[in-house]
Amino acid sequence: MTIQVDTSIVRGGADASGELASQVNGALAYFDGHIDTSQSWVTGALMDWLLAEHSTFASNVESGIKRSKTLMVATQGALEGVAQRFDDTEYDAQVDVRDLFSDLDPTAATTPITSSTARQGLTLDSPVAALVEPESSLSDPAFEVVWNILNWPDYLSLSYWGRQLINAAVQLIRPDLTGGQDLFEFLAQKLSGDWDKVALAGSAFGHVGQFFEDLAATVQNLAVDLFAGWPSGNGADRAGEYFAELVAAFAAQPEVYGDLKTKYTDAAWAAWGACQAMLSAIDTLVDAVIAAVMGVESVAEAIAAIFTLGGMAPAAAVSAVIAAAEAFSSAWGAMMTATTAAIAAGATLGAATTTIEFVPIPEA
Amino acid sequence: MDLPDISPALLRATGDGFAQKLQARLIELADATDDEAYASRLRLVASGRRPLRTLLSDPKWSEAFAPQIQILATPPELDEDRRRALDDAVARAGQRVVLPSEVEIASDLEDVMRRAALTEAAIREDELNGWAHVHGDADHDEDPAPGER
Repeated sequence: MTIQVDTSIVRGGADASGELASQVNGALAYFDGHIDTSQSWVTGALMDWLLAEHSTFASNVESGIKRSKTLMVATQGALEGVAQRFDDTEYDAQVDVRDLFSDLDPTAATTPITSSTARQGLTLDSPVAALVEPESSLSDPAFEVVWNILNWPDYLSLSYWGRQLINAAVQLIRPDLTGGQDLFEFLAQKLSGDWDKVALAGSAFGHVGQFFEDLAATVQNLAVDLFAGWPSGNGADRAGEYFAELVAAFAAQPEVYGDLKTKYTDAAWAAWGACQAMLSAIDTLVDAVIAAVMGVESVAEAIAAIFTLGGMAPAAAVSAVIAAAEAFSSAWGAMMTATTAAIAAGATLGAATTTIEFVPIPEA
Repeated sequence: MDLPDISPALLRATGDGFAQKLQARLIELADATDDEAYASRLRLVASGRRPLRTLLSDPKWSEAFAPQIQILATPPELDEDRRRALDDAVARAGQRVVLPSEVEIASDLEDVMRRAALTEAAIREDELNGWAHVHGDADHDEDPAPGER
């Protein structure tokens, strides 16, 4: 039986593959622009802990995108080879093109894509349309004051003595909290970092995942259209298996990128919750120590009251320190152990427990 | 008269009476001083038209309370037994602390930002006039008092 191949359709497939390779290049540029591999935004201990694997994640992402580009370029080359061989030979049935397509998944005999395979619906005009500017409500400039812990004393109009009073109150009531270190320096060491950039990175990962989702669908449709001009035969079957495995590799990526988005976004929101709570707690403490200075309530009497347990409620300053320390312990504990129901418990679980399982893109 | 403009979380922690006691103390201080400008500032704070924490930057207030500030800024030496007893008591008190909800925290933070802006503006204004301006009742009428927010 003579296999009639419409090489113009095959060449169209080659061109389309080349165009997709360019789009994957766009994804690489997007990655370079929005995922900071140098981790210049990491400063505090918490972010350091939560994102200890960032460089590994970033490396895996970059590697996956680069391999995807190589695969699309190889696909373009293979299809051009197919068209050329069929054009050069009078009897299509004698042309063997199987060697042009590598077996991307030697462990499986994948059902080939054919002209009868269902086309996939596309959510975007093209995969590259997914690569929009990352977004995060944490990047609102109005929130900047909350992230800038070392500027809180100025923001709260703390005089030199105001800062001394706060540190003294903390040192008296909860010496274990900072171990004598200035409260603001302590909090900055623990909580600071450009968390808004972490949230933006999470958003960027999500968009790359969307890119791969659309890439998988586009490649599948490319293949379905391709095999309309290249009827079933040994060469087409081998190519069909190649495309099926290519689509499967791309289609497995969005879940990974979704996990990355969750981890980074949830981490940023957990830190947001903690910083909010601490700024509010310190604000409370400022007013409490002012009242204590004026003798509205005597701190000495209040401490004595604590000893008697059932006595008067502790003075405002004492209560404020205890509440601030508890707020910090709660927020910190929630983020570190993911077991405490606190400010951002749901987000904390995502950040602390989501493991990222990368699905490798095959070698070309 | 509205109550002093202070942290809502502090009001929640201290319960009834604290804001009134604070107000009474501020008025007492205003009545006791000969410095009319300082007295006017204390009365603005007492009535919630000027945030309490402006006092931290107020040279008259700092001068008047320098001894108490020095005392409170230096934690006392506690022997081992008293330290342990205080730690235990604080730990028990900590277990009774009710952590604020997410909604309360967000609302508190808005209030922090509001008071920070008002404080900065008030201090800047008084710095410009050398802390010598006698604030009248007509001053700051355009600023919303806590009860009106």
